[in-house]
Amino acid sequence: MSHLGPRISALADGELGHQDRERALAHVAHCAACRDQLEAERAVKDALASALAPAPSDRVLASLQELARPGGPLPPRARTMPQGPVVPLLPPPGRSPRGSRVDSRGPASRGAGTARRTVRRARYAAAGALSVGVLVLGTAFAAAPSGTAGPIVPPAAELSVEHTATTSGVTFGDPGLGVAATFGDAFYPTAPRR
Amino acid sequence: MRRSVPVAGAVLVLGPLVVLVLLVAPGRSAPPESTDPAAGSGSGSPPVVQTQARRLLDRAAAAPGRMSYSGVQFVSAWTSRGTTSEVVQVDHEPGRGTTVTSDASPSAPARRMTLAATGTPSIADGGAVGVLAAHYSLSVVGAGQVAGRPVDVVAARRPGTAAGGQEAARFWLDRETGLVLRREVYDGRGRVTRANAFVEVRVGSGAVASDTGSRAWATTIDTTALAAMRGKGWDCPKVLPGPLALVDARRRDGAAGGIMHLSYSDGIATVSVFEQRGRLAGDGLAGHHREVIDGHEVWVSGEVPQRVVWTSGQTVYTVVADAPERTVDQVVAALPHQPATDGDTLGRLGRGLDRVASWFNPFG
Repeated sequence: MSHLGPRISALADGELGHQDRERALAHVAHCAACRDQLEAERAVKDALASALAPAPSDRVLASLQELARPGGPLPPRARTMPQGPVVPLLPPPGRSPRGSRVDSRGPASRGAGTARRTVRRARYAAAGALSVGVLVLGTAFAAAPSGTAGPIVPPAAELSVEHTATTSGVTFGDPGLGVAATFGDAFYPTAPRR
Repeated sequence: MRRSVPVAGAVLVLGPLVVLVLLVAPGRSAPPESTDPAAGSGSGSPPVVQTQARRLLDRAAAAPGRMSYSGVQFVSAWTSRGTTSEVVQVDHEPGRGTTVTSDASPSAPARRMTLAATGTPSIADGGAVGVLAAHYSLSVVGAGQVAGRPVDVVAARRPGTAAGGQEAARFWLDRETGLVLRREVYDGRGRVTRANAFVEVRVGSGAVASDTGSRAWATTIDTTALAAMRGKGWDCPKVLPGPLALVDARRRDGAAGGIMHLSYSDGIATVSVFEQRGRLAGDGLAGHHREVIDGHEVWVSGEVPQRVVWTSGQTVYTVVADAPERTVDQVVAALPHQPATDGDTLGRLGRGLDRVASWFNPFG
């Protein structure tokens, strides 16, 4: 009997049907090569299944915990005129912005951090709203009936019949005249009026 | 299919006879000539409707819904282009409709058309008699015979004109059944512009053809829906020059909003206004010629009913009219004539904004 070959993997995954599984297991019981291959296959799958998920780094965890902390009072509105000395936008030479932020952590600096987060959130919200607006309006414009869905030719015969069918109910007289008129040019010659 | 009277024979024998009768029949006083060819209904005092005339017309309006009939009818039309006539076989069955058959002629093959029975108008109250009585004074003016049957003659006069009013139409109503056996329409000068008369009629014998009949579009628009259509940019005037009142509105679904059909009438003249989003294709329309009406360039077909087509903005208007030419010109002039616009960016932005607004409009 030939070896199981690719069916080893299916057997290890439990994907074979009942009869195929019984047949495969009967073969494995007498075939050392296939048995070894099945064991190896199962070992690999067990190792993959027991592998730990990658843990987040301490820095990421610290950042997440920082986000969860309660913030201080909101800072003054950004558009108000500054009352004190002008704060330089860049940190003093030799002092990294990151070191400055970490070293000065305290109640006041937490308030500033909250303000930055608020501004950041506001920016995210604005960007999100803008994206939604662009999406909605773009879709609306694209989906709006063009009104000029290509040049059109009015269906003359159909409109004449529709006219006769509708107006015969609101005028007096037999519909014979109106219907005969819709027969077309034989009833009435086409010619300029003036 | 031929019935009791060969249509071709009727053309040869009865046609000239009927024309002669129509033109010289005693008992019909020629309508007084008006000095104002444009004189229309509703230009002065309100119409006066004689009770007896109203009663006869109500009976005539109800007759096709109660009885079948068949016969040979002579139909004619007079315009500035000349006169034309045809003899047709008419078969009517209540609830089913009317089949009109014309025999073959040297210039055209035999044709047949079945017009399915229509319901009541979606806008106008009172049906045909109501529309007629709102625009014309009605009175019984005599009696006579049509196709060997006794008839009463009712005249419709334009109110507020010369003494007694100028006649706009006459109806010959069968005394036994109420059916309209003959009808004439006059222009502002008192000349006959439309006429149809039975030369033979049999009551209770109509047989409508079994083929599928033509019927009006099924989607009707009532007054409330019409207001919503106006809000969406469709032009829906309540009155057109004539004056012609809006009596019915319908819609046919299709691309870019489909086609809207507005029917106007004064009980005698009829005008249909079709609006379709888009612009007119090519340099013209087959069977139409270019004309200028009130300074506006349009395409006109000389058929009956008359057709006038043009593009205004992003809408193609088609006017189909069985009305005096002067009235048609006034109607065309009263409708929008904006320069044709393509699907430019501003237009698309505007439509898109309208579409977004409609999402939040609970009444849209």
